[in-house]
Amino acid sequence: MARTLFDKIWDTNTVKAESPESPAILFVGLHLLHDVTGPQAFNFLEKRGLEVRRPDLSLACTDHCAPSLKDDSGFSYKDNNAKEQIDALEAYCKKYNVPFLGMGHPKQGIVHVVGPELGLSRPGQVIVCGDSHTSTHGAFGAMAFGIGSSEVSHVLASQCILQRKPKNFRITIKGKLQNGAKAKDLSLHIIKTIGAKGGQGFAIEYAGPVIESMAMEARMTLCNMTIEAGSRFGMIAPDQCTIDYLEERSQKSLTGIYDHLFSDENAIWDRELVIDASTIEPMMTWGTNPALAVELGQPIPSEGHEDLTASLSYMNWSLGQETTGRKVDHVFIGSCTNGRLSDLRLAAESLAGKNVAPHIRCLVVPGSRPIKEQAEREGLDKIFLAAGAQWREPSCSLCNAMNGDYIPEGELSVSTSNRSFEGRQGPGSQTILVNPEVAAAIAIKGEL
Amino acid sequence: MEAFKNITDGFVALMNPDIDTDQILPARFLACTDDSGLGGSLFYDKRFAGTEEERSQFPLNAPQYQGESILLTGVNFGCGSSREHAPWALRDFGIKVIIGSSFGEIFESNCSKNGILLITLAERKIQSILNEPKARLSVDLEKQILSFGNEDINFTIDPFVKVCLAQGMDELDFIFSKTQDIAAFEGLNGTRFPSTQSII
Repeated sequence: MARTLFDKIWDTNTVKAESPESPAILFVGLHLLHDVTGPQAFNFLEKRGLEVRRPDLSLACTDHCAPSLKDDSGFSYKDNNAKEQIDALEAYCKKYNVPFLGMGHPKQGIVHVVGPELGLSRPGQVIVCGDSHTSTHGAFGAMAFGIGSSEVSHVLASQCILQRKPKNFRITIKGKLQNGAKAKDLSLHIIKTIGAKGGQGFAIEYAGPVIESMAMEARMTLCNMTIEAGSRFGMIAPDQCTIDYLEERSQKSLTGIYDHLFSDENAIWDRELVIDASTIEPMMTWGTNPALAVELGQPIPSEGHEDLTASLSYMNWSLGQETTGRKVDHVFIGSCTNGRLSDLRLAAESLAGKNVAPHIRCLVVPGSRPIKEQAEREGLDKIFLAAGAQWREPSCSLCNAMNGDYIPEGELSVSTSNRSFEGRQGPGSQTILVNPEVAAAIAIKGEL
Repeated sequence: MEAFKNITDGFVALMNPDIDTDQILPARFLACTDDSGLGGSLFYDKRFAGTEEERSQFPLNAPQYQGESILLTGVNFGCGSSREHAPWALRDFGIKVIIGSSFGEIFESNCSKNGILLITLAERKIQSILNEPKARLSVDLEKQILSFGNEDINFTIDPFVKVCLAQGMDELDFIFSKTQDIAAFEGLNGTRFPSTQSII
């Protein structure tokens, strides 16, 4: 029977099939952990006196509470809680023999940047992490999804996860991304089209010529944002581009072993959507979830959003208002969505020889230490610093405002991250999501 | 996990769409190494920030709604971050049942592991409950009936989640009952997965 890519991965990794009475038991090929949802899971494990079944398939990263600043005395933690969180994860990893990338480790970084960077995020496997942006790893043709801390403890103890199988949803992207539109804009366009809960109950596969010609980092950006449309799973079938990326990082030949990982021609889709990329322009969000977006330079919609008065008033917009010219206070370039080398290069290209507007605080935060070092080899740090931006240490930083970096109340941030939720970047802060090139341009201009 | 007990109680309505887990529990309260004591931080920026008028308008602060254990919610409640801290905070605050037309998927899964029953109903049913703000709702998990006034509403629930909630069963015990299958799978697939230890 014809199957989708998702069906194939589901079948291959099923330990015990689903029944009406119980969900399927799936085997997890890669379990990623981080400092904010990991320690509690180890704590559950400890309370029950259990062991980690497969430390060799687990990897712990430090990112959410990881400081983006350091001085001669070391990293500047936000407070004791943040440091304790990271220390607790380290102690648990030591005790249970789980590989741990602590602060200062040459491979430390954001969990969804590190997995791919080390060549660990492989096609055909189940990848989980106590983080909703785990869908990022679906860019490699993996079934990758976010879970809660209880489930993290299940995976630690059994290397398995319980799941009901979602339906199959294919989004085919035709035409060509142009007019300055990037993967981020494509994702915002898709989220706007299907809505913040449009993907619920589905695993989404992105396909079509635009995807096939996309670099791995752009594919990761697209898959990363899938959760913002309500679906936990965004994936792309592996191809030569995938193999090349992984071979370079794992120093192993992977030719041929993923050839079966594609959706069969006659596979049945529960839902399909075709999008013409050629008409997509750079986007910006205006509301308090990423589905509320317009083309850059367009006004706030004048109708159809009356039920979202809370969102409008939180962001200080009114229906039909012009967006151009609004003053911006902060620009953030980074995160698991847009904190990779290609994103930094794009931002640096825009900022080279220019100055960040004097009233703007602009933070550039690389997604991992290897990215930071490579960017410095390419001189990108000097471009950012010369322009008046700040060049920080690898961390989630202003994406979720947990490490001491935050946007003050009532101030407006233009950000390359993934969520424009109320207070996401700090209590009372306002967020507009854009691609890295647009973020850099706004940093120079000082306004939308 | 404690077994779910049928309850009868009033309800609090939070009907804004897309209330995400960042609102339910803001990120700065996530730095904690166990799951207890988060109730005081629930909806912190709604309950404790802004003007007095804004705070008193937030339903969880309104005097008539104190102590209710049932939440009525707008579409896509619990979307966003996977933080299980959100259901931990709700549980600690005393919330036992959440009724809505749709929920963030990871949030929904997290609730079932913490004894919180999620009831998904059509929006018109939710409206009919909203029309009776002083109603007391009775929830019978075994019969899968939500009743108020003269109305009985049947709800559906995943049979596995129902058993876990009703018996207070930890899902991990179900997985452990299949340990032989896991070992067999590992035997067949031993070399398929790249070891993290060989790379670090």
